[in-house]
Amino acid sequence: MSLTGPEIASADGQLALKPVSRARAWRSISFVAVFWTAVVLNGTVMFWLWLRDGGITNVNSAPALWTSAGRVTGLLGAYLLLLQVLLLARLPPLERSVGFDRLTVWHRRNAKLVMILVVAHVVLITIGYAGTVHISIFSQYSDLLSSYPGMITATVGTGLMIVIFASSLVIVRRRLRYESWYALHLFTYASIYLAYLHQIPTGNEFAASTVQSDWWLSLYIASGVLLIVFRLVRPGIRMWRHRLRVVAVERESPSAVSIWLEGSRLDQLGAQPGQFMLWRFLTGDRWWQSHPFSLSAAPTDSRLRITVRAAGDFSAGLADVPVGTLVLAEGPYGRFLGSRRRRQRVTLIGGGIGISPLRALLEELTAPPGFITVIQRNISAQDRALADEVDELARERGAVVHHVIGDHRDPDGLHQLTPERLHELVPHIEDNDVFLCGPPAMMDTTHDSLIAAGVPSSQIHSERFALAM
Amino acid sequence: MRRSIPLALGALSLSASTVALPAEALAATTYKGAFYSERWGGAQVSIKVKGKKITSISVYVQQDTPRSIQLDSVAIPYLKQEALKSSSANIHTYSGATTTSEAFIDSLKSALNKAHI
Repeated sequence: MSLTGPEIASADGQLALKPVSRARAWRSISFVAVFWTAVVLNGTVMFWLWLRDGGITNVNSAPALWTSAGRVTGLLGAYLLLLQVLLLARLPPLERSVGFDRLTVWHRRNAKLVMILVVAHVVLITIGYAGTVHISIFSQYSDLLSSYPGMITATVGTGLMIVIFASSLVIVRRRLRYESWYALHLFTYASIYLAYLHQIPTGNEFAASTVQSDWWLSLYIASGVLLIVFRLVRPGIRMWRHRLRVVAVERESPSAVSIWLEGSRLDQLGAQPGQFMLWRFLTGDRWWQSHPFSLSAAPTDSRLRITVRAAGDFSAGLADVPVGTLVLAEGPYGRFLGSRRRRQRVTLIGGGIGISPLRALLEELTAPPGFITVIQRNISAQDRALADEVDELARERGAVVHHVIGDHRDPDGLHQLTPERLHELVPHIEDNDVFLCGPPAMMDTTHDSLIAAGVPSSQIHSERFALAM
Repeated sequence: MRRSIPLALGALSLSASTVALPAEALAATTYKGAFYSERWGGAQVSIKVKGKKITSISVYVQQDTPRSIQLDSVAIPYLKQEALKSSSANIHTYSGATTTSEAFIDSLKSALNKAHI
């Protein structure tokens, strides 16, 4: 996403830049500059403190080396853990300059780094301390727990972090419910607090210096303030300004429902077809979790629509969400935009409920008759969601629609979208921009087929249909 | 956040050395070194001297962190043993407890000065 602001399709389908005030763009640039400068500066101060305390110069024995390495891994781990939270603190300028999708990728990579650093810190400090006083690693560890302040809470915090990290690895393999993963993830804040409790009393750089420990504490306070402002206050203001409410719930197929939402001044959201938002439905049992769902119709000033498949406990329950429910929407996010199109010919491939953002995109796409192809891939005919709407929109645009049906778990239904089949369905497919959205496995195989069919990867645009977890 | 955890580690080994050398200890003179502070706390050394020999050492250590408590519990007995062996402040620091060792040695020097050794 560029700093100049969202691109909006004008009435004739031509892309026009929505004017964004110069002042706002400057504020945004300065915030991003201040943010990264602060990250680099404070990181430098941290390394300098470690060096000044003999991080390298005092290393004159093996235990001293382990201890020193344990210190720097601990400092860096804690520092990157704060950054980890801030990356997804919904800081608007950061989201505009980096993009939410890339931020989630950074968040995922940074998580691995933090985990390695924290575990290394625990191991290295224990080995180093034990070696210095010539006792076993086990007695040193029990001494750390019993005599060093904050070490029991730090151990609990580290354990929590490991569980949260593991849950994120498991959910990638779809073996964990989104709701459980989300609930666990909320404990990240607790784990950071628990780990913080040992840092100042035992930290070599902080225990004997008020200035240094105050500086360290101020990093936590600053992060906390950013979190409160951008994850609580700002969404609250947005909720009050837009007053988004559920106005209708419609069944689209045995397994999918559409939810219509109405609110005021929705143009200010800057949402475009193809994008998703993080939705929080404020009912007694749902308010604590937010879910990513794509817009399934082009947004208007007063109405938004999402179409949801009964995938998890939450989305299954959405069929019963009462009309009138207040909704908090974060975003819009995603770069699955019509503006990324480079060719005149366009193919939209939707797997299952992945048709939702494509249905919205179709609404704004313009091309000569026959230049747009829609492929709706479903396990069974009755599972097709939004099929009538897609057919209707396609008729208006002279677009061709293909329904590809087959259960990928049956041998017959497997590998429906082979390169050969794609060529049959879409003449000149290599000269198409392809917009692809669906379940991860379907997207991976289809992406490979498209490449094999000769579509350059720069012409394949995909939406993972969820956060890049 | 300077918390002091005064701990007289010297008391333990002082009794050991007085038991070992009761006759000489009676005739020995006690000299108290100055308190030397360091970043994690500080140390003050008292020595008993007979002739030109140190017969016993007691140390008052002030510790500010749990890490220095753990380190001093090993470093101080080592430093005392070295000082008793050589009867001088010409001893090695304990690796990993440099600041405590330096405070100990400085205080020991000032005690030895008073004793004109």
